[in-house]
Amino acid sequence: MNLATVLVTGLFAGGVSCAAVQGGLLTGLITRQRAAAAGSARPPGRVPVRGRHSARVQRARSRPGTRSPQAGREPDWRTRLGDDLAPVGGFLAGKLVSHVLLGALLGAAGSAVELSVDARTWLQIGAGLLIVLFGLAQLGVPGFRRVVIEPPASWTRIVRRRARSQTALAPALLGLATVLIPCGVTLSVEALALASGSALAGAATMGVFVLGTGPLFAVLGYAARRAATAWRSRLAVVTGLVVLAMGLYTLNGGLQLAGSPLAANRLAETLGLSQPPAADMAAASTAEGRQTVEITAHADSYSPGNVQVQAGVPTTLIVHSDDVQGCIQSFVIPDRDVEEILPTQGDTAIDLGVLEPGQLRYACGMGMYTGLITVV
Amino acid sequence: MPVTTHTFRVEGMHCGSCSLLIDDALEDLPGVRSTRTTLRQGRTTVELDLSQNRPQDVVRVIEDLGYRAAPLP
Repeated sequence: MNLATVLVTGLFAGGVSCAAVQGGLLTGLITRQRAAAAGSARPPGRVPVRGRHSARVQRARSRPGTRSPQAGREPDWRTRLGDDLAPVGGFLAGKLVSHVLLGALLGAAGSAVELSVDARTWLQIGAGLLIVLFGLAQLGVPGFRRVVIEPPASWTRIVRRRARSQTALAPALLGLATVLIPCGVTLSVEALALASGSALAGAATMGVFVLGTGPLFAVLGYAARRAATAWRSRLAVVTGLVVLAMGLYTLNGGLQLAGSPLAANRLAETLGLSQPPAADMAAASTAEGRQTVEITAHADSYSPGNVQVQAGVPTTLIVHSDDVQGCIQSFVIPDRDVEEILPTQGDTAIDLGVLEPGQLRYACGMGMYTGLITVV
Repeated sequence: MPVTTHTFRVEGMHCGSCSLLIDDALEDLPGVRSTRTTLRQGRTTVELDLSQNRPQDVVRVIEDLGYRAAPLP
């Protein structure tokens, strides 16, 4: 999956799902810190020092008898906005750090296990089915309700302690600790990080996702502990649908890699709902008894989508990279057990041998993008 | 007034953070000695000092967060 899709997922699904709830936790923490600061301030009514300062500093500043010059005056809106955004920024920074580290670990774990194209295909189908299962459970579909991912009690205790801390770093530490309580959408993105195949790609996947949750988090989650309440209970349905969609997307990629007739585009072709693109006959050229066929891999597609080549002739496939990034860097021909890593720019030559008449499908490493070689 | 244990059914939680949020909010309610919400069972168990707050107040706090709650016998 490319990073733009992950960003959009974070922006909407992650933002809605995480922001409303974890935003509530953060708001509670800030409210308590300020109440503690205000409670220790004398005389009453003094505006407490807000935001980043620890309770101890706040108490020291508001010692009885040491009224500051601005006592009794409301801070102007800029100060207040800054004070309000500082803990949100700290929280998001903490969350970003822990999730990027986890993403790197997951990506590294995924790449450490050197799997054949076949094994990875099945792993992806399994992951897709699992995510679909989570989605159905989240939606409360009868028979799936018992499937609930609940973090261990010891993990939730850690987060609870963080949420009640009074230190200046508390928002950042709470953000750091949220890695222990992933929501369904976060779990799905973690599965993508695992499948991304490298520590860097895994870290980027998780990092982009958390950044995506940022704007909505700042607006919705923090707006008020109560603001989001009207629709918080409906989140189960929203997240369930998103998780289900991500599961089907992942599953479909696995089916593509497996060359299954149940993959969405194959199914549509079988049912006559869509036609494969017409075979491009100009992509292949023959010189000295060897056939060369050229395709271009873009960031999110292959062109031409269908190329025609001659059977019975030794054939070389040249893949031109045009700003190739993300999973499309992994180029897979499942039927031949071919897997190549494409450069961002440049050409990759793949020897296909002598082809039999028929169709040869290729795809990106996660089966999200596909193309066809028609052999006649 | 002695501290008694009360159990509530909670609906609408969708992730581990939801149960945390409920526990976090209930800990701020006077009279709540301990609270534990489980996502899997959809339950909140609260040890409550009835001289300070009643079970209905616990329900109100949970419902203010946007979830549905009801005391269990």
